[in-house]
Amino acid sequence: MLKASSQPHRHQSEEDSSGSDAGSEVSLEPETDRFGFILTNGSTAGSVGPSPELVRQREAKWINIIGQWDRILLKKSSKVKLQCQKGIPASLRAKCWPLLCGASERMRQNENLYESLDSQPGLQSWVDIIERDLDRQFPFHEMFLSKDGHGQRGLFRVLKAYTQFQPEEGYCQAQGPVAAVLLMNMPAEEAFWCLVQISEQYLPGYYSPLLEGVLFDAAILSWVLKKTCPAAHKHLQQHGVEPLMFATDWLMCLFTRHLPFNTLLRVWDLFFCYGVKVLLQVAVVLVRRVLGRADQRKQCPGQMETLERLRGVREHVQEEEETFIAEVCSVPLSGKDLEKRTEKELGRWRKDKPSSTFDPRGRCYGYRMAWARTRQQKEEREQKERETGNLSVPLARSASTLSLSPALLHKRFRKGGKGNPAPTENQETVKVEEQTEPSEAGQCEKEESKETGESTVISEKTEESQSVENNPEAAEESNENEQKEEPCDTNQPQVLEEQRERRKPQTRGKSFQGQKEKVSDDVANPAKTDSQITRNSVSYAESYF
Amino acid sequence: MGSDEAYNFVFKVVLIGESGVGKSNLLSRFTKNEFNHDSRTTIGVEFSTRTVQLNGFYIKAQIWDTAGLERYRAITSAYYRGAVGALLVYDITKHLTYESVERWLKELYDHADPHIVVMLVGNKTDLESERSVPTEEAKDFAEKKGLLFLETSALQSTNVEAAFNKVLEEIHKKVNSKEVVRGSINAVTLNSSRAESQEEEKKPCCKNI
Repeated sequence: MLKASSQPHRHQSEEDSSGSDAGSEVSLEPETDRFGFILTNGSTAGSVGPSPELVRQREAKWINIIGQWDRILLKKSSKVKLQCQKGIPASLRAKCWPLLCGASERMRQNENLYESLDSQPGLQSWVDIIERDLDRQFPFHEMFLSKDGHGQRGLFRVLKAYTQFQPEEGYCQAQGPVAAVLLMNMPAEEAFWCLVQISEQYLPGYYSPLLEGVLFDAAILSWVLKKTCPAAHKHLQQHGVEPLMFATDWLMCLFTRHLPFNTLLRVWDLFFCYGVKVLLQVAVVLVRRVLGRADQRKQCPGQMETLERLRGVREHVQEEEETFIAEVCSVPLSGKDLEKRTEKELGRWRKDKPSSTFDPRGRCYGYRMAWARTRQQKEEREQKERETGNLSVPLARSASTLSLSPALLHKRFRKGGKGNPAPTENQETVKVEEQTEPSEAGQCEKEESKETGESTVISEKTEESQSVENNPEAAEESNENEQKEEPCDTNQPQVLEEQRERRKPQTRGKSFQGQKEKVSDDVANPAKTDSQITRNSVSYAESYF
Repeated sequence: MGSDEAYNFVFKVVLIGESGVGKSNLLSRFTKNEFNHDSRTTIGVEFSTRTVQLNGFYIKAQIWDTAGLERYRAITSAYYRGAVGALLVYDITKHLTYESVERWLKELYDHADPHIVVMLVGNKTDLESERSVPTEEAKDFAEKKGLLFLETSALQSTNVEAAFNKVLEEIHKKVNSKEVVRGSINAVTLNSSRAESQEEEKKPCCKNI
């Protein structure tokens, strides 16, 4: 598994701010790969990563994106998606992941919440279970070696805080590896909010007491497999292999325990961008890699053999992550497909489980929805505050003010403003209608799913993507040619018109203006039920590729 | 299908019990002779196989190891399908894990074949000094409920083979006796199996499902 080019990375003692726990317990510091995985044990030192020059270019692009985040989201732009597909630079994941999943905004809206949860003891029964699992979550990584090290402690704090934040949900073991990966990339508070967003918005029902989200998506996965690799699907059926038997860990832990780390990070970049769809696409790629060929299926004459084969997927994901990611992106599953199937599956679900209130339709299919949802929550909260007589909260902006530049806007509302740091994040009406975006990086919807002899990488059809495959540097340059960000205050009438268009009510879900429901304040009443989320949500049908 | 024919059986056995009692290590100890101090939490299901020879027959044991945490019961019902044996594991140093045995039994009988062979297993005997469940108490309980009983240590490898082999033997006995008493509706009561005699006309299929 290890390639010759990888160098073991010697860590400093515990004074090192990188947080290695290695020095505190073992006399000899274990050798680790560049991600911190102990070399003797399932490490992933295969890839060396992109060139520093390329990394620098991508960092610059992201810094630009981050700086104009709200503006970018109000416009149709494929910048974010493209950059996510290429991979977020390691140095910026701490900033980008929370931004993509809406955790940054939630954190801003609930400034002292994490701190306050952290300082409280939490329910003892949850605390006990969490403690017991701590050294079983990520045993092969240096950060989580020591019981008292900041890795395990951080894990404990984040998981405990979640049980306090969502007492009806409590703790689910699969959240451990997820939180661990988050903690490896960002501070505890951001990690907490990302976990919240994942558990609540991206994958509702995955960690709840009845694991309904998992059960539901197992059925969806079956359908996806049938659609994309019918021969493998048939084999699974014939041998009584159901998705829950092999994909539970995949889905619930977001492949944390089944992919090489470098690949995992890239998958998560996509996941925060596109939502649950990515998990299903990755599952397809893995199944295809081990059962896609007839000779492979022949080697699995029974249920056990098939399951054992599926268990060994990791061995089939050894080469550069670019190939894997390209393969994932080329699985023909669009957001629309998923939404349609979800509707159908929900009908079946309701028949089988009439008492269930689970409704996955409101879940976030990516960063746009996450952004809109958190803005919506903020609006609701501000609305509530206005209702309770807090007159310092300014009214929501009308369309005419949306077109103003942020600087002008800030001036206008300075008197009544809450004093939020960044003017662009202030008083914007949330109503953003998602248009169907033209397919850009990869015309996957149109492609037939073929059962090929080898699992081939379907090359993406657009210029940009092809150049990414062949020549990353050229791709970076060609990005300069894509649509430049226009400042808001030019093309005023056109922008106004666009925004009025966007604010028209959707055919599904209630329009934002019509909501009169009691909204839940994060602090006072954290648990928002699935059905509440659905009632508040607006459908965002968007084709992703 | 005479009993002196060399015959391959496949028996599906499930490992159930509270989170942290040692199911995964019992599995790895039996099927791979490994014990892992660094084992990870089981999410969903793990499985492994081992073929043993019993009374001249080759028996392939398919052992399914499930996640123990309460909420995983929502998805484990599929695992019981076709299971003919179960090891219900508790931790002898954690009385709470023993207290949940009743609940696990109910779970088992709700989802699995009623004739499933069940063994109560008290694991972690290597931690004798921290014992909180007396052997006799558990043994009596098992007898009362018609369960097999053994105490094991996956760490030291004590009684692990014995536990699995005993369960497989009992399953095999049940299967064999049906063939011997073909057509009969009388129950065959085994020494340590359930005391009540019910009609047992439907045997679980012990072949690979």
